[in-house]
Amino acid sequence: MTQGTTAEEKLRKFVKFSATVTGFSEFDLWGTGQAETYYKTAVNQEGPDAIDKAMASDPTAVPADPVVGSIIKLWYVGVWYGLELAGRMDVAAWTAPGRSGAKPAVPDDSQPEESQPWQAVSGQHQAGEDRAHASDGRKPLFVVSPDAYTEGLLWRAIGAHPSGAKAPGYGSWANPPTFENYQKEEVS
Amino acid sequence: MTSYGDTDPVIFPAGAATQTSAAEAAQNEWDAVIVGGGMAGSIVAEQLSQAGYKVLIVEAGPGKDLDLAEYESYLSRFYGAVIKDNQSPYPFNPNARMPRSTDTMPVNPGTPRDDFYLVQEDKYCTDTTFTRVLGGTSMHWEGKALRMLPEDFDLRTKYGQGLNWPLSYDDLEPYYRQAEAELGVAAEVEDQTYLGMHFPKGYVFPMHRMPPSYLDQVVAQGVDGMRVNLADDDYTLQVRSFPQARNGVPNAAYDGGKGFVPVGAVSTSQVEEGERCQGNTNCVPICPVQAKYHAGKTLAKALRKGNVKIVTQAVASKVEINEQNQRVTGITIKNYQSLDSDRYETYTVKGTVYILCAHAIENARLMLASDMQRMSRSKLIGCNLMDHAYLLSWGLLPKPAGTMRGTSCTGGITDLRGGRFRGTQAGFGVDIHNDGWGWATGSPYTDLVELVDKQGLRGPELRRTLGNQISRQLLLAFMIDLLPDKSNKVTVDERYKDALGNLKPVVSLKIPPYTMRGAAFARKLATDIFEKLGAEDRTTYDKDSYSAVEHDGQWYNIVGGNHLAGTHIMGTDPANSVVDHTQQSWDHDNLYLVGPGSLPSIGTSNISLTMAALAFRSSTHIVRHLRAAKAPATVRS
Repeated sequence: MTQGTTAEEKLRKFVKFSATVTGFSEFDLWGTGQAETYYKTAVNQEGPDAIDKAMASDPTAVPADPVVGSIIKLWYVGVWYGLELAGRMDVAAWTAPGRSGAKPAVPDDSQPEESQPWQAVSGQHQAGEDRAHASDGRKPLFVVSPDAYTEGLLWRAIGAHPSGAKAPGYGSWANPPTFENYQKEEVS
Repeated sequence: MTSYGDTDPVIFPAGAATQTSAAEAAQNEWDAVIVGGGMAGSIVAEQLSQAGYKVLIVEAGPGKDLDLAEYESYLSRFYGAVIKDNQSPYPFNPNARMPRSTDTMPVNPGTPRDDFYLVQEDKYCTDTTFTRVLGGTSMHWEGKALRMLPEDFDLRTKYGQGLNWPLSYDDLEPYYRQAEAELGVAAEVEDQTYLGMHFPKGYVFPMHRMPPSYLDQVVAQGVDGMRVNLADDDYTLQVRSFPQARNGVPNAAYDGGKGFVPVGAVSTSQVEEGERCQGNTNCVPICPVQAKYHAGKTLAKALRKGNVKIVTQAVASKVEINEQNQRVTGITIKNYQSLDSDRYETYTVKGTVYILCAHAIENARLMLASDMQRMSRSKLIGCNLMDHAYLLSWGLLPKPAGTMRGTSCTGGITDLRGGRFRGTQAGFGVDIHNDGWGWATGSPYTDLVELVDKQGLRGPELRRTLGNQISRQLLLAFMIDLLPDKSNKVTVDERYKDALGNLKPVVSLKIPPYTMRGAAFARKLATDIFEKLGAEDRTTYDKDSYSAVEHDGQWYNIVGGNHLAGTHIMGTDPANSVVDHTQQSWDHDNLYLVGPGSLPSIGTSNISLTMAALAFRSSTHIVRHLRAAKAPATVRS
């Protein structure tokens, strides 16, 4: 690969852009170990041109390039929400830990696909989740990997830890929350 | 066989789940055949094993391998699941399906949906669940371990509502202590002595109470000392710590100063894990470190003595009855090959006594599918289905309160669990949810989508706003009493069968005005509490939801509590109940129905501790039964 930007340069550019839109430093983003996977996920889902276009766009423009929202959410919770699911509160609720209740109405090709390679063990599909993804290979809704869930930035943003991982220790919950150095609000 | 002493760590013996096969089990004559390897089944198995009896457990779920890798596969499945509901860690099993809240949707009366496990025919549907894996619903239970109030045992006499128990609080009290030891309950007696609950002098719980969350402390600042008038009585509210079956700091004064040794993670290899809660905030659907009690901890003890064998992937399909003497002659099981195949072999397993411990819905389903209602004198099999009715209220506190940290719930308000008002409206307990609005709204994911997609927030502003919003969330979950009612029930219908041809449960559960009067009062109390705390009330109810219930011109959403009970209630005679006070079937001498189905009422206690206490109590009776049966010269009293 001598022409244009190398794969590594593209990835660095993706992380730099992601730092701007997520509010976390490039150092934080590299530290999740997810950068390469997320970049590949975004490119596989929307194509390289759409990702380049999103990265060149003004992320604060209204309306923003919809790909930008999908990239932010990917970093925050490790879920790829396809563009057609932007703003779908019912789908967001469905995917959150701790939620119970009926599944929302989603197009057939938005049925969650849980048969990731890391889960390709027989008998692991959940009820009603065995629908195939869209015919063009895109999958509008999936968790990138188990690690993507535990590496979500959301939990750090809220002064907590991912539900079910990175436990803060016995009794830690009795103390006021801390928000790293980003939280200006007074707690107590 | 390796023998284990009392000081050895509790772990599953290697190959525990494969020490016998269904074919081999069917060749043997067991002292006891237990259906279901959950909390009740494990306790009874362990107790009978200690008395020297040979016990077979048949378990519908998989469990070939009880090592840590299997437990961790549950965790990994949860992390990777798009839908993180309370069944998400457990594999889909077409041969022993379980209800999922995500499957719940309204139906038109008369046209039930058959594509999910629980068949419901009403406009109001319950989203309640139970889990069919080894360990049962204790795998995903939250771990609250409250005793029932003394007044709960004679609600009919005291307040003219519900049913009396054939037992009193004092009858059950020693067994509550036994259950608190088995489950490893963390609490302080001083916190739990209210509304008549009492403990023997000098008693302490096995472990000290879980530290109250910062959120509990914030709520207590507003709630402690709040006065409520209800049915002409005054009540003073306070935030109180809940007893929890979760490892904390052992109380050195336990057992007359002997102290308590918590049971950590159980698996075929010992791991240094689970001896103290780490605050994973994930009790439901799975504790990542096994600090929360699950039935595997009892099952591991039962299996290592060698008297107990288990056959997994074995769905009990029929209770065989000799119609001449009404005695059970065997349990027919369908032993399926794998989760991917509906191929199975049929066997009949035989014992001196049979104990159904498959939880309220499955016990009833199995008996109804075995045509046992025809032989029942009370005709109450499957009737009186109960579950706590949950009403959620949520608000935004004025300052960050550390939401989304701690165990799922450490404290709440228990002062309105009992009182004279229960003559006209249901009592309730209030949970302060440390995990925020998640249950109600799908937060924090919904907050993220709202801020990113709808408000267009980016960068530091997004990060800061999320922290500020979510850390201020307060969810109060009101757990409201639902009385026994014959028309709330589980039935079976030849039209609805699962992959193995077993009849599926058809469920009908309606929320009566008595419970809704409690709900309406709870809603009002929530707004008062929010006002006191300076919190912005964000509660909304959806009248188009499957969970919508109208009361006095207002719509509410009443969601399920996964506290299923009452389908084979205990009582004083064969006409008013399915089992007696020992959980022995009135109609079938050698059959015991051990589990929450025996509860004639559920009051405002999460049912598991009471179920466990009853399982210990019944075990003593089953031991006596076996002793008598095995000594032919003795006539059973």
